[in-house]
Amino acid sequence: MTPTAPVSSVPPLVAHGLEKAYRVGRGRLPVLRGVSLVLCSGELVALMGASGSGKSTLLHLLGLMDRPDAGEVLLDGERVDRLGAGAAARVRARRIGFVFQQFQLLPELNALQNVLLPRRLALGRLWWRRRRAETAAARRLLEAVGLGERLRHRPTMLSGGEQQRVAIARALVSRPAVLLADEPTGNLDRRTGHEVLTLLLDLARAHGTAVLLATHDPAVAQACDRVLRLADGELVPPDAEVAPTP
Amino acid sequence: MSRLVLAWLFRRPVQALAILGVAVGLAALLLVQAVMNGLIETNEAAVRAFSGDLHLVPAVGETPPRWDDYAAALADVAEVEAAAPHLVAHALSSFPGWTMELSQTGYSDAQQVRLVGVDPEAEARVNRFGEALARAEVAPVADPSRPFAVPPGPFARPGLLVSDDFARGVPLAQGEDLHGGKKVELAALPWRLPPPGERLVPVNGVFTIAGTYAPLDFRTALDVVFLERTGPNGLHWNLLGSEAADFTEALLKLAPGVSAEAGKAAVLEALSRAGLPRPGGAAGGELVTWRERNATFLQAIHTERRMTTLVLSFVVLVAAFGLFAVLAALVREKVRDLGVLAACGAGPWTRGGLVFGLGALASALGAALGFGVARWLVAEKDAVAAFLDRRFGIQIFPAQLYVVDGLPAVWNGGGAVRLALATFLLGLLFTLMPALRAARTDPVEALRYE
Ligand SMILES: Nc1ncnc2c1ncn2[C@@H]1O[C@H](COP(=O)(O)OP(=O)(O)OP(=O)(O)O)[C@@H](O)[C@H]1O
Ligand SMILES: [Mg+2]
Repeated sequence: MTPTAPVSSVPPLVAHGLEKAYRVGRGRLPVLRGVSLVLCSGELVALMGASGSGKSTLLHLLGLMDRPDAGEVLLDGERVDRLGAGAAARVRARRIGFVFQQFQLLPELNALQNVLLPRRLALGRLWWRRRRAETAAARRLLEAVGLGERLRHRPTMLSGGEQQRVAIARALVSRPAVLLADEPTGNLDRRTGHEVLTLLLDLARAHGTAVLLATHDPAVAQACDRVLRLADGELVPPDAEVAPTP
Repeated sequence: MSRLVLAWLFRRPVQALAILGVAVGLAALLLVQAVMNGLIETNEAAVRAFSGDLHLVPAVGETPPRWDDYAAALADVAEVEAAAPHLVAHALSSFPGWTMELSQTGYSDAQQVRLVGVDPEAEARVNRFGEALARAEVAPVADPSRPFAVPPGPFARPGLLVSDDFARGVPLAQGEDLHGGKKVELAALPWRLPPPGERLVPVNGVFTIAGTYAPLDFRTALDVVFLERTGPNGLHWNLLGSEAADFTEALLKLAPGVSAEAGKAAVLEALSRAGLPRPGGAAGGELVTWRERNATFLQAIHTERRMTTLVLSFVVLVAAFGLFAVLAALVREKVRDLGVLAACGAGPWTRGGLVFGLGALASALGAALGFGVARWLVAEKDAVAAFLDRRFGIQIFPAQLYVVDGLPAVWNGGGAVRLALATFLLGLLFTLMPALRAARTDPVEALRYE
């Protein structure tokens, strides 16, 4: 895999004063109360915080899966938080990769088809002309995550670690500027988790993809370039020492 | 994506069943339509064959109508190919020497018959009279060109033809058969009824059964007796007398390509040119097309077809609803996958389109399958009918009950395509809701769903 060095000086992901509250019955449950962050190219950032602190909520806002109540999200300098559902989906298909705790592969598709899914969605009708090249690229990516022999295997035939590797390949197949990972090692044992994490970070570095990775695990956080902590709906300044979550 | 559609389409057997349900409903609808079309067609053909193209009842003026005048008037009308006069009268029948004597009309089994005097060769030219003779079962006539001929002898009486069914009820002495000159006595009402209070004297005469005919038509089921119309052996001479008209109706066959309406106009004009009273005017009579004459009967089958179509359309509707239920369940079950698709870049249109494509495919499969099965069954209808009869003893239209041979089924391609298309569109309509649901799935909640 040839590393693609970031050339743009515009940070791929910027968030300003993000606020989000959920309606619970009559009342409102504020989860985020003004979160701002900048993710530079190729940067690997861990997002920590107690359970229920809003890590997933923040990732969803940054990934355009949900809209903030206030604040803005800029992707490559372009404001994207007010996009409609369709436009947001198009942005996700090309520029954002997701990795989830539960792997979230489609059970009817084999590993290769799962990896190609974002490409098909991104390319639309163009897909039929680019099919060969795209398939070859996805195949190389699966080889890079060590699953070159398992292309035609359905998710049910793969172990958890293998499924998560397929998911990582799927998240990177569009060469997105940003990869959002929500506890990607949460469902794996320590050893496998470590392997998968190393793979994820290596590949992201190689692709020049900025990663925001929510985790409870300080060891995972340690492997990243920088750590952000969520507490009381705000990002705690990096120098403030917050006790690691038990 | 197409892989995903296929995988989701046949995810559960119940989904294939839903498609099959649509197919079966549509096939039933198309089959019943084809059979009804066939019934309509055979019935129309039968009705037309027996009633000619035009039915003329002459207006009765000062003097009773004479067929010669009408025949002359119609002779040079190009639109009329052939004309057959009928002299119709009503009578009671009995068998001389048997217990039922016509002198005692109180016998409840003295049978009332409709006497139809015909000119055999003219008759054969306008309708299926010849076929009715040829297909007789009990006592077919020896020479169809002279159907009323009876064996000569000192006791020979004018010949008549009864239906096979009538003949089966004729009481026969030991050793006697219908070819031996079986006599039947007829008592007809006089041509004109006397004024109230005066004595009514029926006219009776004895005839010989010359043979039988097969009733091909509901109008000649049991009680129509054919005689010669005129001449020394005719109905006119033997029972009605010279005072009577020598015909009461005529069946006209039109030249090929002439519409019933055009023929009707030409006949009316020819009659008025010949100075004959206009049928349907003040002096009574009528001139109607075969369709008008049998309107009630024909209308009944059309109504029946509409009813069955309506009922079976509901079957299709219910089947399409099954498709809806299955798709709705699929969307519910696949909510998490829809969330994954959303995360990978599938917008509302893509997600809705996926489910809609699924429903469209299912509807198209169901409609195509139903159409194909119905088409095939109609094409192979005789084989199917034979198979059902041989294997299960089922006769769809028992020959004795319906006046049809085999299984009438007429494939109306245009109508069938329209119905298949309507079924497909109905399926699409029922797909809209699940598709909308898939489109409106909130990705975040969908991913949380477990
Ligand atoms: N749809 C919702 N309606 C109401 N409350 C919600 C909803 N989604 C999330 N919440 C609440 O928002 C808060 C933040 O949830 P979130 O999932 O972002 O936490 P988290 O930091 O990811 O936690 P964990 O580490 O357990 O995954 C929680 O208190 C949660 O109960
Ligand atoms: Mg979470």
